[in-house]
Amino acid sequence: MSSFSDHSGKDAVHTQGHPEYASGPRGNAHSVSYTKEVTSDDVLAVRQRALAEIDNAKFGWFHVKACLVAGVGFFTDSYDIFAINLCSLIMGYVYYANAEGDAKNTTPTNIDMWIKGATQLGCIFGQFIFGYLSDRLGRKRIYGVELIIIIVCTLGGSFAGNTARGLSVYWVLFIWRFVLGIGIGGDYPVSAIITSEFATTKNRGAMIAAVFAMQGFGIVAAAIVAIIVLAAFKGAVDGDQQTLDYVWRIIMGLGVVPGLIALYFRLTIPETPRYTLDIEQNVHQAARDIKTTIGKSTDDDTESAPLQRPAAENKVQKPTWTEFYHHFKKWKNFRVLMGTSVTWFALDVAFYGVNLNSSIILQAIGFSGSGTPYHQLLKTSAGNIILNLLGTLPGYWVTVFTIDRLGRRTIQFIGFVALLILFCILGFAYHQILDKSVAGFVVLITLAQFFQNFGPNTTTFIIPAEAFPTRFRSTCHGISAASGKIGAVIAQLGFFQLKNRGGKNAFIPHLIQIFALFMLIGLVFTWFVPETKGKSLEELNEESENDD
Amino acid sequence: MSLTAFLYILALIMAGVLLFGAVYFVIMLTDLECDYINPIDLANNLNTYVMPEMAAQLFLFVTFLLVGEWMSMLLNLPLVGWNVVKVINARQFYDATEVFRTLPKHKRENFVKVAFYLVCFFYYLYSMIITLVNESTTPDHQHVSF
Repeated sequence: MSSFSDHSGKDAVHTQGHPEYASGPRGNAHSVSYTKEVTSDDVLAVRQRALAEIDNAKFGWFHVKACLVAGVGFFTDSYDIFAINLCSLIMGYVYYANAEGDAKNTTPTNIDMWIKGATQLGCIFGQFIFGYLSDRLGRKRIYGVELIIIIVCTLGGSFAGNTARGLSVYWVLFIWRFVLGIGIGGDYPVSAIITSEFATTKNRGAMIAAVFAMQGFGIVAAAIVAIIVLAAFKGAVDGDQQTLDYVWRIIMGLGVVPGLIALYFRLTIPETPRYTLDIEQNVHQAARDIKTTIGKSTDDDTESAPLQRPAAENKVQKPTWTEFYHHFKKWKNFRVLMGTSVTWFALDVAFYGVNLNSSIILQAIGFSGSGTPYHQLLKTSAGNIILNLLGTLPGYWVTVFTIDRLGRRTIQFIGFVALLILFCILGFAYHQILDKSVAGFVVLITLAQFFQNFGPNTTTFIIPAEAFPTRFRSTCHGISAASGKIGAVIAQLGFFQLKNRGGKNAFIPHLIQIFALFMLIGLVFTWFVPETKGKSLEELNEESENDD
Repeated sequence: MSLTAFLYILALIMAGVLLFGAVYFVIMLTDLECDYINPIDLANNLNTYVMPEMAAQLFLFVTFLLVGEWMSMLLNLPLVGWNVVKVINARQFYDATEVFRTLPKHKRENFVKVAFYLVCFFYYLYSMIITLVNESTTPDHQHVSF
């Protein structure tokens, strides 16, 4: 298995034009007939040809389609997160309309916290479970399952109601959103790995980043849908406040539309060639799959035809716990996993921490609205669109266009350093800045959001999808993603508990200082992750298995 | 919700769809360059969408004209003019025999369309929000005009 590095891809590519020769690594041409016994050299040649075909394919409609289909999960993820923030606000108007005094029209804080945290909690489980399953059972077999979970649970949540005894609508919604989280969490590793294994070497970073960048569109789409639905119901709401019940259910339910469209494509995707090659050892099937998906119409089917029966060692090489343990017992391999997990954890603490601050920023720039529920909700949505278009969206797309040139580590370093500086400024001079210039405060927060996405948020998603061997790739991506979400949950719970220490919102500067500390941790642990730019997945595989 | 607001919502969605269509055209043309599809397939594929796209663009233009949204109408005027010229000269369809020769021109045209629809999308979004916010203020509040 260690001889792959001797044979450059060039040999494999040259044989493409000559169907009657299958020149193996030995260099001499020999014709392959049906009666010849299939040797492992022929298998090797077809394998290399197949991989070269993916890696050197030009960017085309297939790649765009792959990014869109894989990105739908992330679109729905951020749509849901924004939707629940808004829907929780709206539900306060519906279910607490008769509460006393200050609490009127607001969801109580701890219920609010659980509703918003439900999906994050579910994500942790989903990432572990689906990460492991996609290595064990194959990407194709489970791809589509997590989208089905997402669709069913979103619809279920939008139909949530009180039970006659025991559970209020909030708790029913919590249950639905927890299972939704499992689906969304499952999307993280599987989509990343599928994109990574289908991508060309040159554009792999950009493709995975583009998949992740769908998150940016999800927020904007959710805000636009919210504005439209609110506008449509304005007359009804002004007459009877309870009709806001329609509004939150419709906003939440509309999130399934992109998912429904993408579902067909997800269920019919062929297995990624690398899984078929490496784990199932089925070279012929992989070569066929590549031809159908990449779509190049060449007529050298005769090359793969003789290999009807793969080589003798047709054992399927599934990952086992023992193998996992032995692989990561070596410090060289373990440090990569530790690097990706700790950096993702450190980043998500700050990422979700800052996002929770957005309502304060909106107040500061005059977009939090007051007066009628309609007015307030309209302004909140519009304000969110503006904030996101300024910082988050550009950050995602700058990464997409530069990651294959600058490299993952570079961008991650830039991001962590910039965030460290920004959070130090914001943390230690919070009140001075806010008092002196609101615009300056907004600029700093926008810059922070920009550097989160042109930086660790995207790179911590991309690197684990490349840096591990095929049989562990998905499991390790799941582990890294789950440690990220654990950070998010800690940020959310901790933020809620701590932010009002010493007075309303008085602890926030200290929280930002804590985030700066986490950025420092992330910066340090970035040393442990490898640079994966420009290397094919096979090269990265070998580097981690050099002494096998 | 007034007619104007409803119109901008519709325009927003249509601009999104047209944007997606223009990006699809660009990708198909680059696929032709890379030999993923042949000119006949390309022509058949793209020609089915040429007239619907022009019709949608014309619809938006006419409704903006009728409702009285002058800025949006003026924004759409160049593209509608361009489409009209193409139809008059019967040059709007993709011709499989000529497409390789005229490929750079088509690609450029579609890139410009992508940029244009993107600008349109954001302009309609902005107009929609302004219209909705203005509607929802009571008579004694100031109207927002930015």
